[in-house]
Amino acid sequence: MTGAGFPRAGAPPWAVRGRDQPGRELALGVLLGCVASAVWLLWAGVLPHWRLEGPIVALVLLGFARPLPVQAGLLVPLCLTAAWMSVIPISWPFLAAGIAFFLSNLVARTEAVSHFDLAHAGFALVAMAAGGAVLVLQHGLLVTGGMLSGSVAFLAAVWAGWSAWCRLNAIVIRRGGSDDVPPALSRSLVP
Amino acid sequence: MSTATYAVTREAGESPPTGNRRALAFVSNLDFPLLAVAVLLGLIGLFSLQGAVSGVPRLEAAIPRHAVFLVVAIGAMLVTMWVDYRWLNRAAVMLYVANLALLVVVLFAGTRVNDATRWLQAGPVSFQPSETMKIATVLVCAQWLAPRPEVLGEWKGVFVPGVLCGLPALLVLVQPDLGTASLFFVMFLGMMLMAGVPKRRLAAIVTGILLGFACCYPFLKPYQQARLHTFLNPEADPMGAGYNIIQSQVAIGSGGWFGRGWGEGTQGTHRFLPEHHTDFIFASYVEQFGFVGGVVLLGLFLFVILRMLRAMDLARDRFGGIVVAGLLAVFSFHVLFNVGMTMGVLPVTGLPLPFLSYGGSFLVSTFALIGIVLNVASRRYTFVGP
Repeated sequence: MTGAGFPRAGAPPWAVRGRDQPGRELALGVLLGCVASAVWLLWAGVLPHWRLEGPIVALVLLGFARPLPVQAGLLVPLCLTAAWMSVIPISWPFLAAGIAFFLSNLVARTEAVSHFDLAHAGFALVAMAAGGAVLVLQHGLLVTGGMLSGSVAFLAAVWAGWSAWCRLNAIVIRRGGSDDVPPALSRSLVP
Repeated sequence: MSTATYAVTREAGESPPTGNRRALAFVSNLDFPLLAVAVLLGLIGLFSLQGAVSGVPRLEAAIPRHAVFLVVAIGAMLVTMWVDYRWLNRAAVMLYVANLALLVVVLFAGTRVNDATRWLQAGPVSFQPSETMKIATVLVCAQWLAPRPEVLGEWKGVFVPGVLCGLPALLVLVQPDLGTASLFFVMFLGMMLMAGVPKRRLAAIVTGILLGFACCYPFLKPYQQARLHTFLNPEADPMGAGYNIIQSQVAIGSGGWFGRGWGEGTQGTHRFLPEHHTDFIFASYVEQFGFVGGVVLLGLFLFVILRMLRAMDLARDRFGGIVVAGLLAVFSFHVLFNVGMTMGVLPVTGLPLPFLSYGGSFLVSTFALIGIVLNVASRRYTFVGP
């Protein structure tokens, strides 16, 4: 696309490229996730008995979101909203576990798993743990006094995050150690 | 950047662009969808505000005032859109110092409303300097960051923009206005992220800001502390600190699929929902236009955010890119925090909703912000031909 008298002379000199791109995509994912969360909350306002169907929407969104940093960014507000809206605290960490494994499966299917992918997946897992922490604060310790259920919920979130993290690590080690390293991965490993 | 490009054209024996050709190129490259959506959001704001205050004689006088503000704001957008943003680069320090001085003046000679001193009175018009301060801070930080990509790896690269954002934040916090003060830190983070500060340093900054807020907690006003407590459990004080959130949620829920209709919202007109024409305008809007109207509005806001991201990517130089990143952070924070606040997932901080909340200073600064984004996006090409 060119404008009258102002054709573009190459790429903008300052453009965010290469290493900085995941940060921008992560930010985009967070923004999209916030708007999706707002829509979900509106939905919950109209149909309060159907508000737990939000996770289905979340999973669909995650399934379509590309690339991985956008998915990770999406997870942050969606998990926080999920935790915030929960009425049965124990159920949400299992949702978080489901999303974590869903995410790790997506990663396993991609052609390249770079350190950036791994870092952002880790970030997503931290977001889930944060969701669990909010859940404990809101529904476990402060409000209902359900110390036991809150603690179990939090432990489950940590367990889910840790499992997914180990799985991702295993994928990276396996691919990095094989002879046929995908080109994108080998690029990411070059300092 | 531009000087070098024009030098190249002169070396090639081509004349630099004349004013008319530049203007033609500028108009042909204008982001018309963003411009149209901004004006549409302004009109939606006026329309929903009229519906929100209908039947409240005390507030009905606000409508003609808001209409005048809207015209002034669109004028401000056209001005900030037309003046080359590189001129703003040169004027950034002057704008920053002037706004900082106004913030100091507000503390001593400002008008006090609802236990807060945020406005300066000039005849019949009151003005909130913290609104224009946001834009001035973005400009001055970008001016400092743009030519110094090498200092981002040092603490100096964080310290100077941190002080530039921290000074106005401190003055705004004293007013007191916790929401706007926190906005300066979000703006700072947005600009640092896009300027390319190392991730570890960014994580250290975020941790520092969070710890800073935690240390500030004992110095907050009692009502501000109560808002933070209420955010976790509004039902603990339903007639006190939790009243606004509960009434706001009732308004949103009672809107149903398509809303009660324009001007038919009972939460606002019957005075159940406080500040229904300013901070809680989103709840009032959803009560009138329902889930569908709310989703359409959020979609329009998302469109604006995505166009701002696009403008950031297309900027021809670092200064333009960092400016748009800062403005994007400001705009997104306002939208997401206000919507989250009205739905009870974020604490009540008094941040208005862009384009919809009543308030002249905020409306003008929002349109001026969009004007600068349009400015950067329209001047995304470098001149290489006749």
